[in-house]
Amino acid sequence: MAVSDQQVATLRAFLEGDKPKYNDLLADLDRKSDGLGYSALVTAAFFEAVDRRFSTQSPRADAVDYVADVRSRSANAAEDVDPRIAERLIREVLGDGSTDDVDGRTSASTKLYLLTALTIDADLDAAELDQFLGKVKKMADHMLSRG
Amino acid sequence: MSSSWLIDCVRRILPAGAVPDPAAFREALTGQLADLRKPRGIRHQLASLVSAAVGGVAAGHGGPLAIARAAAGWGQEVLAAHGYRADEDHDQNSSADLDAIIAEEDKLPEPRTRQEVAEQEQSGDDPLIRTSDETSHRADGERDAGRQEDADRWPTPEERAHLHETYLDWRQEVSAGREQGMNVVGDKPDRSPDDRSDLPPTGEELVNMESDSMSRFDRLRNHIYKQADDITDVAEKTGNRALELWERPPTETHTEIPSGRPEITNPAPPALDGGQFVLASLTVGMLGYELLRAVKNRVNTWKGDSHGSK
Repeated sequence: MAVSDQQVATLRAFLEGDKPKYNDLLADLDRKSDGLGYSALVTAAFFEAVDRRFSTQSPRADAVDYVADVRSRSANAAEDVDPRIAERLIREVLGDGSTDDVDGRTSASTKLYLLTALTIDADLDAAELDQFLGKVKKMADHMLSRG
Repeated sequence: MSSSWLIDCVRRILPAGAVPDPAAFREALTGQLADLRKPRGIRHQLASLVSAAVGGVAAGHGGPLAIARAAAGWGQEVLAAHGYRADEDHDQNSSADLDAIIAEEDKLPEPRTRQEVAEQEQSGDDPLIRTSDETSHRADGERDAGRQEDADRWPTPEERAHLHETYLDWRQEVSAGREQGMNVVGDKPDRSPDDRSDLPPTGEELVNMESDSMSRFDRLRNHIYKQADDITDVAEKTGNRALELWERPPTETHTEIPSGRPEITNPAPPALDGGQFVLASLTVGMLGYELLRAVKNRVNTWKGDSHGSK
């Protein structure tokens, strides 16, 4: 199983902040057949974005500060993002700790918020976004190919 | 083994004045002694040195230098019996050889009294000075001989030209098709050659970085399956709420909102405290008292004027 172009296009619209296009493409995704591929794609994108923004030597305070900053950007973010879970997700990407006890829904929701904020902050142009998505797709395909 | 130790041994084993036949003694020693000296410095067989030392002890000499000085007066036959070769300039060299050899083996000369040292220096017969001078001359001779030997081993100009030509051919063959490398480190003499902080990562470092990143990503494998069933729902609901972050810029900049009135207003005057109130009352009372007294004086003055006019 591999990540489809439609899944990549959906994530691209999300990362560009194109709400109408995102909703259109998202509506075409099948919950059962696209769930695993899109989940792999979002996870890979979150991993890559965190890996670019932070380093494995970053102090914990960096993750704490960043999550606080994201939550302060909107009332919805403050309401939807659990700071402890968000910080743990970032730290897990950096090789510190685990979020195995966090349910999939909460984990996915928090990842989408953090991924949006990280993308806004990275201020990627079209070419950089293509390069980012190309790498993310390879990572997701690699993960799915290993079962 | 030092010569002092050897002399002590000879003294203990052989009675005073007893001396073995040098030739037989030396033959008996040959093959029994392990010579640990460096081959380069050997000028006499060890058995010959021991034989001479035994003879010197038998003659009543107490140390290696005394034995060496005595040996300088031995005849060629005696020296030959001890195994020393008979040189033409024996009389000059034999004692110096013995001095040098024994002193070299001992490293430390036999102790002398201050009076002996002073007397030998005045007479110019100090064996240490003579030994060091002659040893130095001998070492110079050996160095010259070594240089001559090395010079003989150098290739001739023709051979060197041939070797150089062969080297150039080999170098051209090896470097064919390659670009000449540039010594980047050499351009920065003030930095350690091991300092690669401003250079791109090596292939090994890239592989390690990649493997580290992939191993961390592999740890997120369970995320994919855990959220697979809910991801489309979450993407629809939470995704749209998350996209609202685009509507608000990051908090890195501060937007100023103009105001219609000045931000700084005059502060309200502070209320009177008790001390100030008492002070004010006292002041007002005194002023009132003075005012009443002035009015009363004025009235009295008027009354007096009116009574006087009457």
